[in-house]
Amino acid sequence: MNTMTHLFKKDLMRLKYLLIAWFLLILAQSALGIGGNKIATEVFEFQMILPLLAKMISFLQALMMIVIVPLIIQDDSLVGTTAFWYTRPISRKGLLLAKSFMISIILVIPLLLAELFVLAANGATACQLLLAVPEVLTEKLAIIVPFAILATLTAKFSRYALVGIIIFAAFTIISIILSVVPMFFPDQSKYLPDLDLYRNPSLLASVNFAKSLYIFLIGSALITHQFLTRRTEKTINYLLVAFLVMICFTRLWEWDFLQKECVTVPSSPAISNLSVDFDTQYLIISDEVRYRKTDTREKSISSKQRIKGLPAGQFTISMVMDSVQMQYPDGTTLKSEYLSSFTNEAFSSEKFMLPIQTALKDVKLLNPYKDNSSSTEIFCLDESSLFQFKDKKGIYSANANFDIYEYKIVSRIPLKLGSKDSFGSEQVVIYDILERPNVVSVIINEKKINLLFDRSVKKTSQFDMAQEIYASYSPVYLIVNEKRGEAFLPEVGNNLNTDAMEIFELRLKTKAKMFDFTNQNDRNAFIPEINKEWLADAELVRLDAVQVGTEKITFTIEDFSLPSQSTITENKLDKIDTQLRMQDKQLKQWYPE
Amino acid sequence: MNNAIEAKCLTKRFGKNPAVQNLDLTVPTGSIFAFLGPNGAGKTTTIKTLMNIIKPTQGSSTVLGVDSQKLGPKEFAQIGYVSENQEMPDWMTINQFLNYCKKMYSTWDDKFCNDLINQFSLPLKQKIKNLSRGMKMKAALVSSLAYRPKLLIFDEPFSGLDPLVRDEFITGMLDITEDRNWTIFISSHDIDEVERLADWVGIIDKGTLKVIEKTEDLQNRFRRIELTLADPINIKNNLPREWYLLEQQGHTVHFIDSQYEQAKSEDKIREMFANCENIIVSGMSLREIFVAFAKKFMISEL
Repeated sequence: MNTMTHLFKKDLMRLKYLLIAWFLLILAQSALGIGGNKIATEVFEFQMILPLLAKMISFLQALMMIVIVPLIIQDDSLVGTTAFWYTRPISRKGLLLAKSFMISIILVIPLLLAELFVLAANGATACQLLLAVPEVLTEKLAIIVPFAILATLTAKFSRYALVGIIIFAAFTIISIILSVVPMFFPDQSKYLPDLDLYRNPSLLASVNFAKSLYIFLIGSALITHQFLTRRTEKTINYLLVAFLVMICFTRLWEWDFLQKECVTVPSSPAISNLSVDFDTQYLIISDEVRYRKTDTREKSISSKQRIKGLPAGQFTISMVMDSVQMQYPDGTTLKSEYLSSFTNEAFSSEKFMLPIQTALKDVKLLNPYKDNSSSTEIFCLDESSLFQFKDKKGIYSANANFDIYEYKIVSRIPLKLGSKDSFGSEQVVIYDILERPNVVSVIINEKKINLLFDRSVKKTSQFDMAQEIYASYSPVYLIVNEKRGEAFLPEVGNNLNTDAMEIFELRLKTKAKMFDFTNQNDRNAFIPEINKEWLADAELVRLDAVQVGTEKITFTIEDFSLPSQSTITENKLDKIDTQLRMQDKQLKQWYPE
Repeated sequence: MNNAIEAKCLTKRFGKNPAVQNLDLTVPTGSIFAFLGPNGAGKTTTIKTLMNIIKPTQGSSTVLGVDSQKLGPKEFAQIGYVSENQEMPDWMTINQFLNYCKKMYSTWDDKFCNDLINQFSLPLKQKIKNLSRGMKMKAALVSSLAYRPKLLIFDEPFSGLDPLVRDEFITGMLDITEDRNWTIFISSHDIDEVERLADWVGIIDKGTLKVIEKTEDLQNRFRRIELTLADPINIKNNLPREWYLLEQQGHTVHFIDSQYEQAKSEDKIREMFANCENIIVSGMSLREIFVAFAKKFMISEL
């Protein structure tokens, strides 16, 4: 009988109970990926359990994989002089094939199939499934191979576990050191590995993919070497060299082969009458974040930005200001420290309403928001300078860089249970429509497939993503009745927002959302009731914010003085989020322009 | 192929420590070769080198005519190996274990296997991990005999076995090998046990092979000699090299003659001890020969 199948059967017999548990976990994970969000929308308690369950399954799966790999390999150990197979008619090549086959059949293929199945169930096309194969395979193998290497270099599970824990502890300590060093020694951070990569998500993805492929290929070569020669010391030496090479190439890698087409921003014709300023009567002073007690105490001054002259339907998202300074009559120039690029404004801001209405064209938005709070950091300086220059008149000048967006309708879905629409790499499904007196709740499941090799997915920067999450200005869902020419925005504050797919998060993001639509609110009067007749012809419409241009404007404000105290009582929205500011500042310290 | 095993200048060092040095070994086909030596003498290292479990530092060896370092499945299908240190798939029952082994060998003899199982009274349904050491060794022996290998290698098979099991094991082995022209290479520090089996003997000490000879020849040439002298005399320094461990107690002199031939040896004795009144010559067991060697090497090293 063929040695490979013989050894495969033997390993299968030995691990049968563990493998049953393993397959059950994969099934549970797939079930969550397919139906988790749907159950969460129906069973309230499940909303709480879902993320926990997803994390637990993910953890157990990783744990089982870490255990199964050495059990498969070490049953016919490659280290030491006492293994049973050494003096039996079992070829080293046959053993290698048997173990590789076992790991592929038991670990890799089921994981791949489960993920493809979940992707397919979530609307992935055949083309997307094909593109997912190399990505999933490389990722899974890059996780399994290091454990397989460790198993081939240790004779017993206890030794494997001990060495594994030591390596894990060493990596954890190194990671902590690498994350702490830049805080205390910002100048030295450029010598640290990997940090540059975070500037460019697609370059990071390229490096990670190359790293995974390297781990798989070199790791497989090392495993093959150990199987065929059983020269453990030599294999360990090769492993150390391979690890050093990996660190070097990760540090030096510049080939962004996964670079995706950027969202094309048309070079918009200069908008002639565009102007920028801020409300000088609306100034808020707050303390800047300090990392150490010894850091200079800094003050941040924020105001309400005003951009005039934008064409109808367009709005700005992030305004980054540079060359910010105060020029005083005596010739003194006071330059601002780094300013946060985040504007603090919620979706309920009035500024988004006209662009939404413009996108809807002839359909009238019946319940627009009228919120007007927002703030942008306009100056940052140390406390003593503020004390010295406060209330002293001068000329404020700055360069304002901002992105211009407008809303586009990307999807129209009949407001019926189970209706769905696919666009690009996304899909939206209506899970449920709950009609209650004066309120209609629509529960949807948003699915987004993001594959490394899928060129149709546009590149999004991490800053864009952070801003989107923070301000929730995109996507926007409305219910629209074309016949009546009426549209409703949902009430702010979803009471459901699940994110089950921790496990497949890289490639598949699914999120259940619930929107409440009502004519009963305190900001609008005399709007029609959303009843059965209204809903009969209704659609769920999704608007996405699409960048249409960028602008840079130098502006000045005469007779401006830095305030000694806030001119208004700040509310929640007036204050720039401390955490975002801190992240932003840290990034700026690491990557000065 | 006249020799089942051959080794030339076989050397294995662990770091700077030599475990086996310049070992020249020949095991004739069809012989039962006892590879003797005290603990730590280098027996197991030699066997592991022969079996391609570890690589030699120097020298070469062949097993069944194939370079040890090239031993593969084809050769291992003809070699049975039982070692005190060998790991076994102890999660299996004996039945599963024997079935697992059976599928590796085209020459597996079910009837012979069943005979062995009965002979050793192996409990087929018990898991190996629950067996006593003796039972484990018996299971290993059955799994190494049932395919009728040309060469059987036993590394300290009696170690840790109680006398009853040991006897059973040896009797079993004698029964099995009686009618078959198998080559058996057995390493042990337990000489009494292998004396019943071996027709060739190799003695290794501190990594160096001291003796390699047919058991019969070895026992024929080694004699314990006891002389009674008329008067005590001062023993000369120029005694023959083949006389070991000479002791004198009054009128009596004892020594071991390692090259005994009745007429020649008696002439030599008369020449060295002119006043010799009586000569008693007695045969020696393998153990006694081994001890004589061990003492001689120890003295010569001192």
